[in-house]
Amino acid sequence: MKKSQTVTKAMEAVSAAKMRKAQQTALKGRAYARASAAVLARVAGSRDLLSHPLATVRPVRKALYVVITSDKGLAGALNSGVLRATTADIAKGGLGQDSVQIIAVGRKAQDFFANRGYEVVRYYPNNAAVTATEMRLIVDEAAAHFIGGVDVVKVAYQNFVSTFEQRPTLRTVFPLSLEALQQVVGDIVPARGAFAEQSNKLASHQPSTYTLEPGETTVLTAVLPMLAGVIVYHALLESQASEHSARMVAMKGATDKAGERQHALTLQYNKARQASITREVSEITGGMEAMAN
Amino acid sequence: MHIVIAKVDEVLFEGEAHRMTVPGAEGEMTLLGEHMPLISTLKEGDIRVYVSKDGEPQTFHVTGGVLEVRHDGATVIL
Repeated sequence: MKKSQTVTKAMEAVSAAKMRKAQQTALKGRAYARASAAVLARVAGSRDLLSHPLATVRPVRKALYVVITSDKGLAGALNSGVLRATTADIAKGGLGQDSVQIIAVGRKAQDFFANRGYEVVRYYPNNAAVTATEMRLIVDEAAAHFIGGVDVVKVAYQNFVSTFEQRPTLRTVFPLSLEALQQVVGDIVPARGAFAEQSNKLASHQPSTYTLEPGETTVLTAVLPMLAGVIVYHALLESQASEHSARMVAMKGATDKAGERQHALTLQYNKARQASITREVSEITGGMEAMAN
Repeated sequence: MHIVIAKVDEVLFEGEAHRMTVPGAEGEMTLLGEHMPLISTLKEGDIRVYVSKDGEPQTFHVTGGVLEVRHDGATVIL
């Protein structure tokens, strides 16, 4: 018992360190997210944006979900929350199982959707720190699906609100919209805690007219995949921060429980020991009396 | 002017600088303060940031990206 308490305590400490690291990485990406949102805000009203292949809104007949969970369990209700939110969203859209495709990040998502007969088009393990390369692969594949017949691409992940609060979140990646990106930029700053900051002013004192070089279409083609990248990258980071903090809290619970168990078991052990001593003493006195007779 | 050069996972440069030269889509250009607002794609080449007027530049090699210029500064996203 004492051993398992030591283990959970160590896991708690490791998760706490990993969580801080994930949060710091998330904050480093904020400048990038702000700048790209500002660029999109400038071109958001243009007709070229609305007719760009990555931003065209179509009636939804086929959907692709990028579902981000962890590889490992021991993290409370973290993964089930994301999976439940995804299935609820699929049901809400009224889509049948055969018109939904899944890109699974993390083994839990892969197992869940494969077992239920969904088409999992790609699986990425979610075991190391998030890399920009992995994000690029996911975005490129999602973009290819969106152009190739899927009408909406959504990403489902556990959004990091604070150490004790994570919220399953769905965001639309394609068709790209300014609203989705602004929500993501807003999410980057946690609501409370050391990394919280006052509401960030997005595109507040931006000039209203930019010259675009070489032209609107070229700029959009360069910027839109970057923006999708921002959304997916932050989904990956948020879910990692959430995983580590959820595990930290779960392990803290386990450590406390182990302490309680240990106390109860010590009592039980002492009682058993006392009982056996009492028995031995009475046997000895019994034997002595027998010899005296 | 205030300059930010950022990749999605890393900020390469952030701070005040005297001027910056970038490989713009329509040719190399040098930005001083008070430039007109501009959004441009970048070609492969080197970005040179001159922190002081006469000092040596900090150079960043890029293969593409987008530049956003405001009156008070510029942001490059790669």
